[in-house]
Amino acid sequence: MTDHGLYASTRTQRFLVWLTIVLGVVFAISYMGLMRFFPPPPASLSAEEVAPLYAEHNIRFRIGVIFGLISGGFIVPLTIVISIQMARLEKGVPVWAILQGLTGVVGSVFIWCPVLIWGVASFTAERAPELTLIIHEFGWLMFITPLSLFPMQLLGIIVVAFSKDEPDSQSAFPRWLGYLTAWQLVQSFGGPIAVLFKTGIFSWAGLLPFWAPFALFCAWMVAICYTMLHGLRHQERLAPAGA
Amino acid sequence: MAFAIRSGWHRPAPDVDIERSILPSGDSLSLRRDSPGGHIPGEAGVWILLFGEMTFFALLFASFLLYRTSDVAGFTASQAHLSKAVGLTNTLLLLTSSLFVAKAVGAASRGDTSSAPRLFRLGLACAIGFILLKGFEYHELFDRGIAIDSHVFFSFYFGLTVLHLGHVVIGSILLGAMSVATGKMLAKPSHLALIESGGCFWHMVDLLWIVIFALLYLVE
Amino acid sequence: MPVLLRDRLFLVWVLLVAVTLLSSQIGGSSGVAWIGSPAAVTVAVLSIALAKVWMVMFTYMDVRGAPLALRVLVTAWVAIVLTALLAIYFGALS
Repeated sequence: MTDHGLYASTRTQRFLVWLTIVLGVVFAISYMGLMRFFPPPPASLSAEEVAPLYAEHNIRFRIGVIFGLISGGFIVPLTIVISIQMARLEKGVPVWAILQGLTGVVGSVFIWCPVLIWGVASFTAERAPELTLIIHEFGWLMFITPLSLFPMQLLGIIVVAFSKDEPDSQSAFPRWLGYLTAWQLVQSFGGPIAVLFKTGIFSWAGLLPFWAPFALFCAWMVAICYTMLHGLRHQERLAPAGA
Repeated sequence: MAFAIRSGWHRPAPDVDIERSILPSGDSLSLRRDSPGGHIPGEAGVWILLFGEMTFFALLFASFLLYRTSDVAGFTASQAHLSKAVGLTNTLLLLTSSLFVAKAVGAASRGDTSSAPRLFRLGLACAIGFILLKGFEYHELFDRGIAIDSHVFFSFYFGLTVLHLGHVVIGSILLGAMSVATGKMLAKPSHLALIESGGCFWHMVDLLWIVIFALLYLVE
Repeated sequence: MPVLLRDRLFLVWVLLVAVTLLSSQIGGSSGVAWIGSPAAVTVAVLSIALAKVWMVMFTYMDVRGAPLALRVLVTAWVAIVLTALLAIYFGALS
């Protein structure tokens, strides 16, 4: 390999993967522990039922928002590492790496921005309940239903995993990761269906738009962090530090 | 690297770099069908996706029956609005397309670059028939004023069938891609693994519909 | 035609179509009159559906020639799903 000068050092990339893991844990704590939006409130709640979600434990919620805003971009460092690793394997202009990187960065807005919207809902919790309902639903639909970018991000990973020229055992993109990512892509299409339903398994608190993608996203994040670190370890072995 | 596809590509030459499987032992995922343990259809990784999707759908099916127990009369009355003949036709279309695709994958593994694309296109034609008939079915129901909020049954009907239709569309794109890819000799054994995996995805779309048809149209 | 009769995938297709037509006769409100009880209809219809699923996986997906572990996994999956669906239908969770 002659490309060591071309890409960020493996140590930097390793740091970025761990940054994603740490920020992801902070986000999970603020989302589940402080904002307490796990499991999600039912999509069928009336204005009078929604207002107390923000009015009760208001300060705890807003502290959750603060940490959510700090950590909401957790996926960005990982996205960059994935793109660098994809670019190593692509021939010519790394089209898929660019698509993955840009869609991943823009897509992270849809994790980070709902927190800010829920923050607005909690900021003046004593307002008319109908107004809180609007901003509450806006936040949830933004959190669950936007789809367009995520499949594009996943597509490049799938292509690289199946077309690369290095053996799986040394790669950051083993073929099984390609299939796991393909499953994630197929699953992701369930999200927008939540726009149509207020109750049941197809609503934003239901199996299809929330639980299944949530479980799979967690599994996918663990898997891809692992394969990135695995691939980086192998690249370090090939190129002694300082090369 | 040159492959003698017709003669024995299930036994790749030793210099060929075979992809490693996900097995911790690092067992190679060669395409040898005659190995003592048997040949994994596609490759090991695709079964993550297949079992994952099938189990996810199984949870949806279980939810359907669970909701049904709380309002059996309502579910039965709603079911009467569906046309069994349309559901049956769609089942037959997918079964037939599965046959074509199974044949196509077989042809591709023999290196038959003329039959394989044709069989994939026949499978695709059935898939398009399925999509059109589904659209017709939705149209009929909407005409009679039935929508997703008419009854929980129809929430499930539209939720399940739209979700499945999404899989049919993704599968159709794969069938189209595979009909192009199998038109020329495949360059690597891993390409055949992808073709087999794509075929398995299509069969999964078929078998999910088999259960959806039974649940929505036939269960009493 | 003799060629077709020796074609395993084609024969499987014939079987699947026949079974589909049968289950479509059994199922639905018309089937209840024919078979007797709704419960019997449901047991028949779901059993046939899952048997077809098993058949599709073993023949079209070629699990037939797969390692034992995968064959066991597929068969177990089909059996568990059928059992679970019937249990829920008969009110195990309600």
